[in-house]
Amino acid sequence: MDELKKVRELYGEPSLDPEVRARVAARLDAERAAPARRRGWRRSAPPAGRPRDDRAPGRAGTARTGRAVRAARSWWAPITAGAAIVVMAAVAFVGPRLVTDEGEGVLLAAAGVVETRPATKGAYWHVKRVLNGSDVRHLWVARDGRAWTSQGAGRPVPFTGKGPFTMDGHELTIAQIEALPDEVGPLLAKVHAILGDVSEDEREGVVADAITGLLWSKPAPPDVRAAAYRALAGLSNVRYLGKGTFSYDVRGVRRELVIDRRSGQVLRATTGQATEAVLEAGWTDVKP
Amino acid sequence: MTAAAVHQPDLADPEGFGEIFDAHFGEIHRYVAQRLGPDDAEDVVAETFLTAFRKRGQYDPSRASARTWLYGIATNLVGKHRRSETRALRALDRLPRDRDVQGLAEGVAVRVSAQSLGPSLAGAISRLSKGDRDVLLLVALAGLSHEEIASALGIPYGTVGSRLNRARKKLRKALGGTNPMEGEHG
Repeated sequence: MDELKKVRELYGEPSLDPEVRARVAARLDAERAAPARRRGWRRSAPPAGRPRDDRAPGRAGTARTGRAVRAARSWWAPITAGAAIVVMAAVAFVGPRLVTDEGEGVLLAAAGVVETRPATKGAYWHVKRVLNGSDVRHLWVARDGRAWTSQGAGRPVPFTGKGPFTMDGHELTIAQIEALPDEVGPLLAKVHAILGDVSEDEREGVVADAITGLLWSKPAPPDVRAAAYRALAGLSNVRYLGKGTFSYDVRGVRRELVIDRRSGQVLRATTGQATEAVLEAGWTDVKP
Repeated sequence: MTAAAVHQPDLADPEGFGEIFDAHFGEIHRYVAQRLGPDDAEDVVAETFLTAFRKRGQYDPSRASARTWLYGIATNLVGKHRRSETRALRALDRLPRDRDVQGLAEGVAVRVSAQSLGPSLAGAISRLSKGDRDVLLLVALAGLSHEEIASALGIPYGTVGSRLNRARKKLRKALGGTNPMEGEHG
């Protein structure tokens, strides 16, 4: 009798969530990006050329909202199944506030992380995304507005059509996105101005969608992304579902976002049946 | 396989660490998920790579391959999650093999002790000492050699053999069902 074979049979092949890899990679990226801020890191030298910034992410993320204690508590805490129970309890006791204290903690922590990251530099804004799990798309946008796309391993072709950056159909240039306000109030005012004429019953959803649109694939600078996370925490139609997942309805379609508080990344968005994950988004000098 | 024969990425370089992540994430994730269940595996496998990244300055490629080194870190971290491991073993014991065991962590409030596992193979694995179980599973699940296990766990080569023998003997006993004490509860 071979016990080792029996042991292998007992354990079998575990069912693995393929998205864990992207989530862990995002956590590693966050660690690489912010080496001096975590306990136990001081012994290793920070990467050369990185400006020192001693603000703790949780505190930086909350200075403007006055909820420092709450965010500091949620910083770096693991997202566990137990959190779902906490969220349900919070919903029961807090009342109609859909984003919940726990959800707000996720958003403010994410704001703190992205804000303390240095802005990347390069000639092209590059986004690599996966649609519905397997369809890989690339987008490159030069500062002068020229853009290219590619699918899978295919050759990049010039981008045609609206955009490449739009907010509810309104085209935005890189310069316009970079010039967006980095404070919650002015940012919301600017978004309302860009959106223009939207019917009252659609407005809440469209605003939530415009704000989340700044969080991942658009070249919004770190401060603007941080403000977008904080703005999201204050919207009355954004619901926290637990485990970093938020949802809202836009024009009758449910959209869900999974946000990693530790990396400040939007890991995945689901709209109806379609899912989209952004694997990379940043400035690069590598030509399309 | 000698160190000289394999390409060793430069760990000081973030790109080199990325190569190690790409090459080994899949099998380390699988190993941790086997031991702790898929839900609890995510944080532990993340912690494994974060630990490796933080300690990359201490890694000596002449002593062990990156793969062996990662298994050592993962095994050490798994050891801190005794309750999760017991819960995972209990799930293996009770569920049909092909069942998806996701959602194990939902019973967070349920306390599980090793004694609640019956006189089964899973129960016998659960009752092994930590050191014996680590060696057994690094052989059976990870397929590491005795030499690799010695460097992964930082124990003498001879200890690997004696731990493995002891573990196998206990499992044989459990599988044979010849122990009357255990048979009564079967």
